[in-house]
Amino acid sequence: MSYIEFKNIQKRFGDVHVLKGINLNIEQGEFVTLLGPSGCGKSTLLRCFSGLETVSEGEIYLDGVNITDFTPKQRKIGMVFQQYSLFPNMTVKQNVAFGLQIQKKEKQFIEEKVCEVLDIVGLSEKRDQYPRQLSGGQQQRVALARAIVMEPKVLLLDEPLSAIDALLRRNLQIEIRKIQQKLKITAIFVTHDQEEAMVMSDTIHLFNVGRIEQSGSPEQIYAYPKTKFAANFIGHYNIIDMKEMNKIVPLKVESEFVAVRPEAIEIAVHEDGAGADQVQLKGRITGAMSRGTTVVYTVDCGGLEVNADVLFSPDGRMEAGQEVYLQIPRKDILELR
Amino acid sequence: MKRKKKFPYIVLTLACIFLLIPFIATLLYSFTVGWTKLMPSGWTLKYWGQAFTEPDLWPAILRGVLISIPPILICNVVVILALYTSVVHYPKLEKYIQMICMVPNSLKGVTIAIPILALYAGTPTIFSNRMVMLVCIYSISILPFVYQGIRNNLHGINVRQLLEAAEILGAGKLYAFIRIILPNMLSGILVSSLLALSIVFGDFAIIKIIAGNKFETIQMLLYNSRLIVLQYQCVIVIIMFTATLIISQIVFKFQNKKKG
Repeated sequence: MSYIEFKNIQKRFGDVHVLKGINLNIEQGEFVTLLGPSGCGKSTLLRCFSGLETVSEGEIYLDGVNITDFTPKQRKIGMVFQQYSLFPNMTVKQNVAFGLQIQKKEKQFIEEKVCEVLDIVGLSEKRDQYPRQLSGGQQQRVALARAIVMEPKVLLLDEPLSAIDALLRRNLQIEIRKIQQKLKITAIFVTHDQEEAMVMSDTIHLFNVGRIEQSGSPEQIYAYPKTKFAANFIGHYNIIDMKEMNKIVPLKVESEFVAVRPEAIEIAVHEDGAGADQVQLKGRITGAMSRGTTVVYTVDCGGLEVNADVLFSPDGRMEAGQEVYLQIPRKDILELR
Repeated sequence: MKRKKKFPYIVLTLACIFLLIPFIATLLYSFTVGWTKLMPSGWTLKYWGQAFTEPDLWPAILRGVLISIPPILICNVVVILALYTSVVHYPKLEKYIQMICMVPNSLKGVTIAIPILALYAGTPTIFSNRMVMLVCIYSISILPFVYQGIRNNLHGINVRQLLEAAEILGAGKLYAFIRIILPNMLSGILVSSLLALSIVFGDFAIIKIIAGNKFETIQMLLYNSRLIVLQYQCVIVIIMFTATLIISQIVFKFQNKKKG
């Protein structure tokens, strides 16, 4: 039995069916990300787990106990919200101590515990300041401290970094992950940012319209998307319609669409002859977009538009209109459901 | 850039002068013996002395403050509870609460006082008591102001999310309301209460209709002193203004102390 189990979770808001039979297992100490576009049901599932929403059908188990009908307080979980939700009338220290005070812990214990946790998040010096005196990143770290001080069974993070600027966000991603690993807390993280999910997670569950589209490690999800939606959402995949493809190069595949990672495609200036394990497409460059370390070339292959990533080289840039040959390893042509 | 920075100061200075002119003029007039065409004919502290030796002055101020407290308390409790319940549990009901609370805006206090007096005076109910009647009418009169202040404040804080955060940390709804929501509403409560206080404190018409001369507030004192010289009335106006200022300053000091 897994540490957390979602069994056939259904959630309806009136006529709107938000969660359509979610089955999900999470192991202890795992950092799991629920990834998906807005409105796909990932936050609703998190709120159902926290007890802030009730499920319409199904059961939730935590550490072998059915917690479906438990109140948030009974579940012993910690949660970090998107908008921090710090108590504005309390100092950093009072915010972090709030939960422990409710548990009626001894003053000395609270003091020590708060100091310890503020030390972990690097905010010891800000303990007497009010939330309004802190930056967004600092506020989010206080929210994290307030959640972990309770030593929760599970830490829930509902898009906690989406209100923070890019640079700080990257630092906080690493920080949160380090803290989670240090404390060995089971964490469920909700985000719509696939890069964030890749950086932080042990396992990603990709959501689409109330269902889990695909689950796996970040590498699995990125390298082997199973559906058109997954390929579209997770990376900058070329989604190729096989009807179009077969007009140029006939391929024996059963699915309607295939996906090819742009970085798996090689561009050659001269025809090199395709090997048995390769597919070669002749085309003309129609555009080039620099992304720093790579350049994305858009190549028109007889009406089929393909993007290919090439490592940046200061003197090797190809021009629009140039004739090229795209070589795609057969193993990198992924059939989509 | 310099020009831009100067502009707000000029506007603020002009606004301050505009607002202070009536006060300064009243204050100056209270020190005059009489007035020639352009300048005062002399200066005196006689009327100030007269006001401070007036045995009815301080009780009148105190009565004004005392009669303000129950309506403000009642109104605040009713509005806070109604708005809190609607924001947290029934957001759709808020527009109806707003409609109800805004009705007294279109009915002036006098318009409410006369029918209420006609309806309840002499009846064997608690509402026939003039003090109860006054409290009820004032509660209705100040309702729009109290409502607006508290509503704006409540919408300024993310009540639902704060409650959820508290709930996750193990707090009950009532505990979270008292420890988190209420302290964050304090500035709104204080501002609307001060506004309500100034309305009740400055009322003359309702109290005259309901209580007659039995309950003399400072406004009534002012009215009764209309036959005495104008300088004496100026002294009372200045005292009223100062009393309101002192009360508001005490409240704001208290609020700032709480904020830290």
